Amino acid sequence: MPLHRFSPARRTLLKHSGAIAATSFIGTMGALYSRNAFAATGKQLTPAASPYGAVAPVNDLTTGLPLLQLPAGFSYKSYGWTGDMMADDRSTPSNHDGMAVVETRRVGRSIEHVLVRNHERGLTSTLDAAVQADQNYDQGLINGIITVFSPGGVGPRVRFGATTVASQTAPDPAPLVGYAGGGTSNMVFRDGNWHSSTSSIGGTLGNCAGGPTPWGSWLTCEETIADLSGIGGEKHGYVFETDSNRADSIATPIVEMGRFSHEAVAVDPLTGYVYETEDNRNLSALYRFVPNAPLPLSNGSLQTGGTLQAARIKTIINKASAATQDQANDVGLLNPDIGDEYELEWVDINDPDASPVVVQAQPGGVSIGVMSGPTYEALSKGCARMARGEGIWHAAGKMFIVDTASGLDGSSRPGRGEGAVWVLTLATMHLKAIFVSGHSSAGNNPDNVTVSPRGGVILCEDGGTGSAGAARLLGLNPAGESYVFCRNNMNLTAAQISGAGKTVAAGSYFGSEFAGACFEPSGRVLFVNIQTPGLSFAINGPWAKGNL
Amino acid sequence: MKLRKLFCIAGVALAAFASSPASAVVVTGFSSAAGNTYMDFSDDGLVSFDLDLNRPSGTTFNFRIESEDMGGPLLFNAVVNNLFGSGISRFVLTLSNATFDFIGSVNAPFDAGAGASGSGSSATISFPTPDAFGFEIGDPLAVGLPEQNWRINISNLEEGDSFSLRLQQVPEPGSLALLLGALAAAGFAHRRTANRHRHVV
Repeated sequence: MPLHRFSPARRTLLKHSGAIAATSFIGTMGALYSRNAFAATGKQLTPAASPYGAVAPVNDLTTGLPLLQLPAGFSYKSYGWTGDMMADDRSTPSNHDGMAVVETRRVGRSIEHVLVRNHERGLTSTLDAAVQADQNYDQGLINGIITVFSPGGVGPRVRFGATTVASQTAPDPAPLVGYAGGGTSNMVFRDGNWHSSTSSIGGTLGNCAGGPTPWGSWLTCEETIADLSGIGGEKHGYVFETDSNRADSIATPIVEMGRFSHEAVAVDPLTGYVYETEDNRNLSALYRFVPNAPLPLSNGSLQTGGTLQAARIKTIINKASAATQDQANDVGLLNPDIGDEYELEWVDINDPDASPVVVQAQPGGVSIGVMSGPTYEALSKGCARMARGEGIWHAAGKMFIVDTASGLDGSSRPGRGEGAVWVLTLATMHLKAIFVSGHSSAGNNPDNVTVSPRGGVILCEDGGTGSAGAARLLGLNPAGESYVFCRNNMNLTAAQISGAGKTVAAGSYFGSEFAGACFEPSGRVLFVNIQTPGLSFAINGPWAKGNL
Repeated sequence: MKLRKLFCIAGVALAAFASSPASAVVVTGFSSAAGNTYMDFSDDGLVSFDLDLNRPSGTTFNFRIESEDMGGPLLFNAVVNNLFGSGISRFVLTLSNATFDFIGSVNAPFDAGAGASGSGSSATISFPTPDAFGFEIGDPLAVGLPEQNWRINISNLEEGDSFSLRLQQVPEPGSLALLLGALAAAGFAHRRTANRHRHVV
């Protein structure tokens, strides 16, 4: 059957509901988050009431197992469990993470959505156990340790092997041995049903999240700064491009987007600038990449290079406690209150591929740590420090940015809290904290984020069971207050797993993180992963009852 | 002229006409809420369309019979996409100037218990859990059994005659309560406005 990209007319049909919703969404965005009832206390301590009602166990339409708790009227199908055979005769890799719908197309009379899913995996013992696709980056056998030095080679060093050794007197750790096991898989969802999946990029490491592009691909991000080039492998810590057609994926790193512990990216469709987060506790910056290629961009455009820039606070617009500009850049983002707001400017990074360095005595009790080379340059230039940058998503001229560790821990250490959501308004470069969790019941380290076609924000928790007893999907209401939309209900016996034809281990997975939340263009289906034991969901229900 | 009159009666501004083939069943009229759209896949002896419902509303199709459609019942299939995000408890199909010859399958991807029943000019699709995704009537994607196309009896019609099909969703009770509440509020507001105007006058 012939395969066609969507005609504009058909795309209009499918997006119509989203367009209608977007009108009201944009209209409300101006006033959005200004009425947060928790703003007076600085942080939200308890969940708000859900417009969808309470959650309760719902059986999976595929396996019959009660894997999720959802509001009344919602149903779901699971797919792509770790170990399930894919269409390329390989088993589904583990550690499902970031994901997005990258293409919606018509095949005959059917409607297909193509999703790309990350697999956040480290080294595997055999090459066959690694993600293997048509396009692979690092296929070498890695065997050895790597060492990171302080700037100029003076001061402490850190050695990475089977364990990490920061002590100067301890012997070398056991070597790293294996193959780069991460990568991506592409999945097809057709006419409301899961259809197929295939490997789409291999030979990468720690593919945590990433982001969809307006031109129908997925930028997959390595959350590592390991340089394995001296011990049989390649340098890692880069961004790669996975296409909806897996054969067109590009397993060559986009070096000028920077080498650091990437988490996620989001593209501003008006400029083509790619905004990037970094996940390295209290040693992180917020970046953007300005491509050299002119608009419109397409698959491979980013390979022509560009300029990496880091964010620096230019103006303090609103902050509860007094701070200088330098203080705001150094620690202001580590422990925000709801309503904190800054104006950003962007600083060029001269060497986006610089090697990481060992740093000492950083905020939040980081006595010794390894900072990426670009971030070392950025913070040396006075740029803003983030705690742990995670998900980022573009909607209606705004970037929704999650810092999973904003806030304080029990010892009052900044950058070790329950997390926050920032909104960056691209037209003004104003960065505002719209949600800050002050207790795990309100938000337990949110990680990935998405925005529905109706303008509702969904957060994926990654803080373990927390006080709620399980990882959850949270919605943000129009005031920016979190509420519980879905709860992990996976506690599986061997008999249940066997009966469902799966091969994962039995046990409780209540604390396993949600990841990769995303909607298809009509807004009817929410796709999301649970990282361990590794499976994907398609969720449908009466979305119009609430704001998602 | 006749069609224009029909749309005026329906009170709907939509006057969408399919670029129909020269033969086979021809869609001569479509009436639904603004924003609702369709794509016509009808062919010789086949009534077939995709209906995108962005607004909850009744929808009426008018069809004209061509020579190629004569000689037996028409096959019928459709894809109905629920894009307005509220659950549908039931979906009622009503024919005018024709009858259902066979009630075939219904496939709702997110509601395995969906089924259809009916006779004569009316059929009802029921959803145990209110459907918020959409569903297939008959076998529009040609997957074969267990999907089966419906049949429409046009034995009393001749070439050039017309018949119509009305599709009306019944909202889930929660949505119905919200709708009634909204209507009551609107009615109350209207009365207040009317009373205020009377005072002014």
